[in-house]
Amino acid sequence: MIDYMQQVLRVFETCTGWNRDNSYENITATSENLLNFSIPEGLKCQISNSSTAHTFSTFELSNNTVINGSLAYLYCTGKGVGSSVSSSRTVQLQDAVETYRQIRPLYQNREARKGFEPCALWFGRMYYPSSTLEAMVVKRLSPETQLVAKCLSSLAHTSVLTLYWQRDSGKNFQEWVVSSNEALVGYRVLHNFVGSQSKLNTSLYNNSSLSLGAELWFGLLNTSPACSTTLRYCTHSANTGKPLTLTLSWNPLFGHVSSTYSVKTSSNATISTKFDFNLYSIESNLSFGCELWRRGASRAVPTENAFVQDAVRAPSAQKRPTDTKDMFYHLMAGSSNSQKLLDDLNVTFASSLHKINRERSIIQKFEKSLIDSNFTSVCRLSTSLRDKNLKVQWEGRYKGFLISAGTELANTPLDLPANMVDEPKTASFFKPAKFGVQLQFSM
Amino acid sequence: MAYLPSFILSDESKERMTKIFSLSQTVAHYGWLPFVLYLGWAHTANRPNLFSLLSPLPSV
Repeated sequence: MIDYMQQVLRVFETCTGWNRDNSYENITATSENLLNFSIPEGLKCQISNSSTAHTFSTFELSNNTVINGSLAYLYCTGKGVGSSVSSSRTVQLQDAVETYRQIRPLYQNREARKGFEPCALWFGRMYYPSSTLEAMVVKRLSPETQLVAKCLSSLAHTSVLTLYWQRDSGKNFQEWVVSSNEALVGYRVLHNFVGSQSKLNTSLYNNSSLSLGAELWFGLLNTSPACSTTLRYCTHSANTGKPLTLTLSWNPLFGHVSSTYSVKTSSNATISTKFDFNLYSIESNLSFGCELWRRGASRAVPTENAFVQDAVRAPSAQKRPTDTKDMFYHLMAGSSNSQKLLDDLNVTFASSLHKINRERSIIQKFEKSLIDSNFTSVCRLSTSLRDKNLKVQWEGRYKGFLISAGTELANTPLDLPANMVDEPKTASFFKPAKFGVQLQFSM
Repeated sequence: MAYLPSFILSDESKERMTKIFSLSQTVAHYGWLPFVLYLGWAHTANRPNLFSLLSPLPSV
């Protein structure tokens, strides 16, 4: 479940034309959401309110080992943020939970930045009884740049201040990070290879994106470097229009290679697999995750299958447009040869034009069916062969409350130190290692 | 301040500066939430009353 304040931050980013998917930090967000989803611990209740159009507040109470809580306030400038933040009763479930990230091609995001004006967001959260403060300031400097300052302040422990300077030109994303923790300095870059629409206007090409990113880190105090690189390819299935994402990550220092494959097999099911391999230790791991969405009956929307069938049926049912000849009228010279050439051209191009239209309509209709769907709950499963665990989570809406409940089952006791794991294991059945319920209500 | 040699800053000055730093951190720590609330209050056209701004509970 996405935190209310996180939802406000995402709305702020959308309203100011910032694309959070175009960053190296979120390059593997889809597979992370499907495989490593967070399970709440204990009972957690959250009440949120938007007191004015620009101020938001959240009160949270949880009983994880001891009863603790937090109080958060947020203020942001920027047009339309207040009206775009939905309450827990009206928010679409696919916007309130972490799920498959639909990556838009670069040229589709350019429109959002028109009419930019500088704006900012201030956020503060105080945890009780520890009195730890979490503060954040996001400052949009120009349509392409933003400055983010995050601080974790504690009077009893060390405070950490982290500054991010981000520049997103669409084709390239660059980010400098400076943190007071071990004087850490980082640089992250992401490059999109497909920058503009194809002149041939092939639908699949125009709805695909290929990105390559890298990050470099250096701790000045402990002089330890770190780096990694990732390739991401997002496209749609040619026949069904369903989106799929592939990523390949490589960490040269640790010799770790990780590849993921995520696909929306239908509008209410998503599957993700991940294969990890270490070049130095020859250890590998295979993870599998899936999520199943359940639709409510309140909104009468045609099913996705009907859409796809319609889309497939439509071009064949339609007659070939008669006006396609008009496209080549300037080639007409009156002779029979040129007439023959014209007919050939029409036959050649008309079929490919039909194919393009069909592909585009399938992709658009699939996306529309996702937006129109009135999802009421989602069930998630994730397992990993090497870790031998099973994570189960249910998220949904009940009488205006957003509820998230989940458990993690593991067959090795997690609290044992590493040198005692080799003790003889008698019981091999799964034990619940984590269990929690989270309630969220906002107006 | 500990890494500076004593001829640059005397021990009293170091102690005074440490106190000032810790005091300013305490002020920023406890003053941040009221500051965020003040920004919200000052930039809203019809200045809402303090209770509705402070309360995280949904107002009817």
